[in-house]
Amino acid sequence: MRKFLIVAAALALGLTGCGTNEAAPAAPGAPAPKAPATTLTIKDPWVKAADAGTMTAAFGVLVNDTGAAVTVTAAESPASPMELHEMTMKDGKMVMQPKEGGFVIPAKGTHELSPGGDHLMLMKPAQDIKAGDQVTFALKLSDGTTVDFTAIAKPFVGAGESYAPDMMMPSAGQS
Amino acid sequence: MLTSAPATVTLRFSERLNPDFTTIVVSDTARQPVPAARPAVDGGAGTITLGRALGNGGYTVAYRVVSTDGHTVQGSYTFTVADPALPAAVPPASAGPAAVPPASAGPAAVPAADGTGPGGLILKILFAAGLLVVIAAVVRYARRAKLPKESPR
Amino acid sequence: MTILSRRRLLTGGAVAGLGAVAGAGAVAAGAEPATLPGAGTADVGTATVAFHGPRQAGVAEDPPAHAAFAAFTLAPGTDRAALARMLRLLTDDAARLTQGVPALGDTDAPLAALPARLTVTAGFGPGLYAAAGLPSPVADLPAFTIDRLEKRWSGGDLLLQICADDPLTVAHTQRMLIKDARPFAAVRWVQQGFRRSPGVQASDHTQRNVLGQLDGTANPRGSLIDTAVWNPDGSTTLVVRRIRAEIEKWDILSVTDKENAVGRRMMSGAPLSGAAEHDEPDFTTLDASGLPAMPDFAHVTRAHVTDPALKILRRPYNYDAAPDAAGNPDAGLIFASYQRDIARQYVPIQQRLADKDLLNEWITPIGSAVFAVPPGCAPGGWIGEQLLS
Ligand code: HEM
Ligand SMILES: [Cu+2]
Repeated sequence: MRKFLIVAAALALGLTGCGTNEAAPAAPGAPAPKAPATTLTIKDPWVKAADAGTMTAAFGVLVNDTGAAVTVTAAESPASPMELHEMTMKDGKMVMQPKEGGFVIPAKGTHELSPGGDHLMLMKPAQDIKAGDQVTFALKLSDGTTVDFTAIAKPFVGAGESYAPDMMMPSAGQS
Repeated sequence: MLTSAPATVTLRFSERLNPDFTTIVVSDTARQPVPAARPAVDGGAGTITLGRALGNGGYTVAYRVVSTDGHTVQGSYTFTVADPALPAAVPPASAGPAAVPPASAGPAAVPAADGTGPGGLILKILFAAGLLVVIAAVVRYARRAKLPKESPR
Repeated sequence: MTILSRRRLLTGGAVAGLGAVAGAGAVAAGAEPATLPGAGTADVGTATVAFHGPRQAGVAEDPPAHAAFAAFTLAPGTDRAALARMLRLLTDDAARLTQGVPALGDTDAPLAALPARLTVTAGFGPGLYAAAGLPSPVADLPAFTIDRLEKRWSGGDLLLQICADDPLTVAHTQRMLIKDARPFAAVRWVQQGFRRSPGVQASDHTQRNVLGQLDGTANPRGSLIDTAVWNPDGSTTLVVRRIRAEIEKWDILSVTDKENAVGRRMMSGAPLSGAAEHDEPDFTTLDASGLPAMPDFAHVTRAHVTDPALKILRRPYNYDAAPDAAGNPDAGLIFASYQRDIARQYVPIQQRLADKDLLNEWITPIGSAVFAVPPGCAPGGWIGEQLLS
């Protein structure tokens, strides 16, 4: 298995717990987040499996437990260059584009990343992301901290969503 | 009333018997089964060879067979051995042959006729389920000196 | 069969009427027992069975009312690493769905909200071990003379047994699991079956199968399940046989004929040698005419096992597909049997039944598959991890 995919299985699957809604870093045995005192977590993360070179995206629910808004300014992954994207209507078509100012998660609030909605875009995976692979990510916050998480790759078709490069990406390559 | 103890008991049915589904048991008045090999089946006839010589006394032959369409047919009749050359029996069974309806309520069996066939006893039973099954119960007499070998089953 | 007028809405409030109904139902005493007090329909939908643990769920629990057995054929080239990825995904889905939580990327998330005692049990066929380059602990059953096996119901590299008290829950779960298995494996067959719905009978009541027989009486219970079913590592094995029932022919029989075929009373389930359902069958008991009370060709006589370590845990589901134009049913049992060791426990019983069993006149095995059921997993683990990681 490729190096960037090797992570503790306990991390990703700990998320499922017994169906409880525990957040990522709560998983027992999970490596401690890089930045101390991070209060943003991601619940139920997953990434859509894709071939090398084919855009794909990661999803989940961002959970902010603090009393102040938190902003995600960027995402990184050893698997691919990343962008933060939103979906928007252009000429009667849903298209995606980079999210200006990042994702803002309100105090004590959540922000959902989902197919057809905001997402973490993997612009050009270096290698195939196969179903069942585990991909690590890091979210950069405006306060300079980082939130690490691991997402399992799902074979997914749904929500009228496709990230074929020739589709819905007027601003491809920009930003 | 048989004046010589049988070594084998053969039941003849109007349908072919499946050896797997053919049970024939001979028991004495104390309801102790007489040891016997599993029945040898030849077409519609099932024969058991008794594992010991019968003394004087009353016996019950009970059968449980399965017809081709899966109905279980069972019943019994009694006979008495009264061989003057053997010690007297205690106590004699009721005059045989007498048809005993199947113990359970299956196709209710009604004794229709009985009589003596060649070398044995014949029992015909009319089954209420609309099918006529003729059961010929033949008790073959055999001299102890020429007891047939147990059937290979 | 008598229709027992015990239909009653299972709301909590209806329980108040139970005493009266039980009294009125005295005529039917010894028939089907009253429903269980206190089981509200509300609980049925939200009830869960724990997914994580040293043993997989879906084996020892009372079988829920509906099941889908989905068998897969691995895609060529599926190696050990791919199997691990597949099982991580399937484990993740099962861990969520069984607890009423949508699968990741669940396109119909609201359907996950009512797990209804959902369990997902994974079994590995000999082909999965071959793909992983490992020796298989299970092997296909030997051929039996009674078999009329059809390929479309036989074999399988991977099995997912999905059980829940609600058929929509089973359907949704099946769909989510198949979607995630698709990159790795093709659907080989799916068999859907059912038992009594929750609440129509006390849960400890033995269920009737499509032939009207009380089926499950002699199953091991309590700690005897451990003896018969579970290996020390938490693994077990599963045999799935699709057994067609010739119900039209069975219908011709009288009750006594049926009882002789099974060796038990149709109404009470009591052995023909005894009086109550749970009386041990006594094969030495003779009837008035001297015949063994338990016919020697009866199903129970042939199948009976005394050694607790040699028993099997039967967990069958009925199937009832569309009848043909002449009205002949396409029905029978998805006969699922759990035991530690197929060769030691299952095969001798099946061999005896194949050699002689009057019930064979009305039942025909048309499908057969064997699976090793690996241990369960802890949160964070995945089914098959010990084997494949
Ligand atoms: C359509 C197929 C079958 C039907 C309708 C059926 C039905 C029954 C019934 C009504 C009983 C008695 C009640 C009970 O203990 O559950 C029974 C018992 C049993 N059956 Fe089956 N059965 C079928 C197939 C099989 C198969 C394939 C096997 C195993 C190879 C099997 C093994 C057993 C065993 C072990 C018992 C318990 C015997 C005892 O210890 O008393 N059955 N079955
Ligand atoms: Cu995008």
